[in-house]
Amino acid sequence: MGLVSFEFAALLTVLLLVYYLLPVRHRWRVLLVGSYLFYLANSAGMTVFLLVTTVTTFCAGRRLGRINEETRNYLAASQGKGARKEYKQSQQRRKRRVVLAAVLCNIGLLVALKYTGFLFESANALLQAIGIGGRLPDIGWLLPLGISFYTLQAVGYVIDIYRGKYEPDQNLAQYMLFVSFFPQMIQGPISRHDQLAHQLYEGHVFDYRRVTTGAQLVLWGLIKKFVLAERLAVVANGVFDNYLNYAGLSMLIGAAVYGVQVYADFSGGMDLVGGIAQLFGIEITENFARPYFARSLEEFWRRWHITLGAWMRDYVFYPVSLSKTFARLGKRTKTYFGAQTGKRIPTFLAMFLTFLLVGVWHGAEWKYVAYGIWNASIISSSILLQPVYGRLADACHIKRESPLWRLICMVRTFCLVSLGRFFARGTSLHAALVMLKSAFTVWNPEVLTNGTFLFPIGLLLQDWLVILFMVLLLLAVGLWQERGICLREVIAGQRLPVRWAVYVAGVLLLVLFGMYGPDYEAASFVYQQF
Amino acid sequence: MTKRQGLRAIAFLIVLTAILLGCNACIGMPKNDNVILMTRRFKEMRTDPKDTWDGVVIGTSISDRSWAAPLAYQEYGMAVYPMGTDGQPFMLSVELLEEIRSYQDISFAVVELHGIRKVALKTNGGRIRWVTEHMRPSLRRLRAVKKALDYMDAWYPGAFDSSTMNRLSYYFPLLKFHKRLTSDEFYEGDFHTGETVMKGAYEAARHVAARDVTVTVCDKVREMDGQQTELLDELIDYAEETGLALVFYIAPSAFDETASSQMNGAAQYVESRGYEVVNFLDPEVLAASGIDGTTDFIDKRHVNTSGAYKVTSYLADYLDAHLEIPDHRGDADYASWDTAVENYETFYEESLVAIEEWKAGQAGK
Repeated sequence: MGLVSFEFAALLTVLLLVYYLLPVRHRWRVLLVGSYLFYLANSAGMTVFLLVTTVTTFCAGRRLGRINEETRNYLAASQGKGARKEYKQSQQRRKRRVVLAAVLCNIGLLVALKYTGFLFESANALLQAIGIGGRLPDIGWLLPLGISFYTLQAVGYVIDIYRGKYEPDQNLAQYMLFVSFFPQMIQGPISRHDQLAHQLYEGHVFDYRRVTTGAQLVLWGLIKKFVLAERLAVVANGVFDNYLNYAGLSMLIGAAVYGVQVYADFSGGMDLVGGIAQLFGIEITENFARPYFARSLEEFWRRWHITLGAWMRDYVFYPVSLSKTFARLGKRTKTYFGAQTGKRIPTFLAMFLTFLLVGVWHGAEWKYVAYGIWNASIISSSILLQPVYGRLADACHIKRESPLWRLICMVRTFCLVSLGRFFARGTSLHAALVMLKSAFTVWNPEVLTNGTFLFPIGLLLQDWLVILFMVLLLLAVGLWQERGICLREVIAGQRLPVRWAVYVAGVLLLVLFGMYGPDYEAASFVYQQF
Repeated sequence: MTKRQGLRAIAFLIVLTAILLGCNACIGMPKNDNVILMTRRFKEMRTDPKDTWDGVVIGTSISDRSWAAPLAYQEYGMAVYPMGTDGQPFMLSVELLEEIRSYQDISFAVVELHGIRKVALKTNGGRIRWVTEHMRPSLRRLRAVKKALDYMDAWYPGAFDSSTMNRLSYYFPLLKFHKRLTSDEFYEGDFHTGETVMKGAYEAARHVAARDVTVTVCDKVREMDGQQTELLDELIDYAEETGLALVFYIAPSAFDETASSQMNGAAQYVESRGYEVVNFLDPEVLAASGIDGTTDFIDKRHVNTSGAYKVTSYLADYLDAHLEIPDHRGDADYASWDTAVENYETFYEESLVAIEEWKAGQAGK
């Protein structure tokens, strides 16, 4: 039962009816039942893993909460400075043991389920390369639905309690809802407890405006997914799955198209998730902020999959870069390389580690390792080259805040992101490297005009026109949003016939031009696989 | 939510539903050359003056190629219209007759039996749609779709796409055929259905050609199994319960022995239920009707204009002899049938010329 299935639509309808019919204080229970029904329908045999994560992080949170409370009480009562310090340190050690156990248990579970096969496979290759006999078994375990998302969400909760950011949940059933909230099970976002939990638990009265806004967001998400992403998938799949049949410019087009496809698919999915949540009166954290308007790769990662980036920043990058080890490393590198470079080396190292994890989070394959390294390398080099870019702009007499320079930066970022897509979407690391090589060694612009690429790949002229329309529409919407204009509010401010015409046009766009139906495979989202 | 908001929301949903249903009605299965004649027949069923038909001929393409309605009208004044569709699923016979009877108060139905062959029972989506999508939106249509899909699931599990989306697309063809908007799959018939000029008689140009075939005559009888008898019983029971006379026939064809033996089995079963079968695979009937394998077929399955003339003449004689069918010739309500006769005469003459030319061409080779 995917998010875009009739079964899910039926479940959602029933849940909405029951949700708003029950008294407000019981409404979170409807969400909990719905979430577990959804999970059981999708991944029944794997529910135990969801429960393990829920229970371990809940208990860890409670334990940390008690330690925090004990510490507060002691510090309030105690007078001696030395005793207070000693007590704090001992409590900190206790907390560290608890948080470490919870993190290791859950990240260990994630690693074991998601990466054991990859690690064994890599070990086998290594053993074979160095001529040692023996072989570790081939493992291809099924992954519990949403494990990459709910694990990070639950681990983030434990770390936040450890840091004393908020109090732990006292109600296991409510916490179960926080970890398993059904709209975000398929592809996130990775929500924070202090942003989401209270909304889930408090129940919401029926708010006509919010419900209609949610429905509009659902519609917009479906349009992005079915009208644009599914069409572009034909091209991207054609190129990436049959890369030996293409060369040169076709590869670059494939990568660029995949970039737009994955954006339409993922952000469409997020709109769907956000819209569904809004139907229940819940606001979900934004996961996208018009990433292709980013002027640098660094900025791109602040706009793309925001919740993963923020999670990695708060729970990996900062703890690592601010750790004592890295502080010592910084001191040493300053001695050898000078103040500026010495300061940058630990930061870059932490960034490499973070992006490596971001890459590997996507999947257990070498191509994702390369994807992480690619991103970290580009960001590091762009930071280092920032002054060069500045001088280049000055030399060309281009003002750095001028629209032209902004456009150049955006195009540059898009190109860099698209090159990274070779790793993310390539069928393997080898395939990605072959494609990259071909992209830069074969010059064949004639593929655009000689009819060997654009149409034989599976799209007709009408499809390309629909794609063009949708890309322009996304661009226009993005531009408005960049200027702080909320299109939905603009539409809501129009007269009734205009509003209805827009909504009907949206539905017709989806129904008439969407790529769905019995002749298409049941659509799943790209990020569902992660 | 205020009352005003609630009313507006309901109004919006009504408008949206109306627009979507409108689109659903416009964008259905492609009306290509193969389908357009079927569409025209269903259209004429509704546009002909109500209750002016005496009977219909139903069955697969084998039936509608073999029945020239204007000829039967010309000879006996009977208004018997061909309502066959390509590969017509036998399991939808009752629903099709109900649909026809809601517009035309027919007193009998002539049922061609090739659709009861085992291989024909395992039908496909297109063949189901050619019946159901020609039915007007109604509970009957919903029942027909459900029945056909349930039947396929029950008898051929896994062979048919039973996904919710596919099932729904039979009720809402838009779900399947909206893709035609971005494909090149549009035909003149999608925009202009046109009229039949010979009361549904098969009029495609290729019909005039002939193929040299040998009609398979076979003594073997392959008894109907439960799946087949169930369908025949359902049809016969329905007819008996609702006072509809049934006439069964087996059109001439040149299938293999398996098909012929099944047809003999079908004839035997229908006769056991008290009905006669006009069996053109019977050597006596074949000889009496004058069917000639060298001139009367388009291919192994279907007769051509010449063959249809002979089958219709023989069958019309039988109907006239066994049923009380009024003679409508000269009746003002049947003026369109007179026109159809004129058109048919011209068409038939031209067809015979074409067949002679084809034969001459074959002889010269």
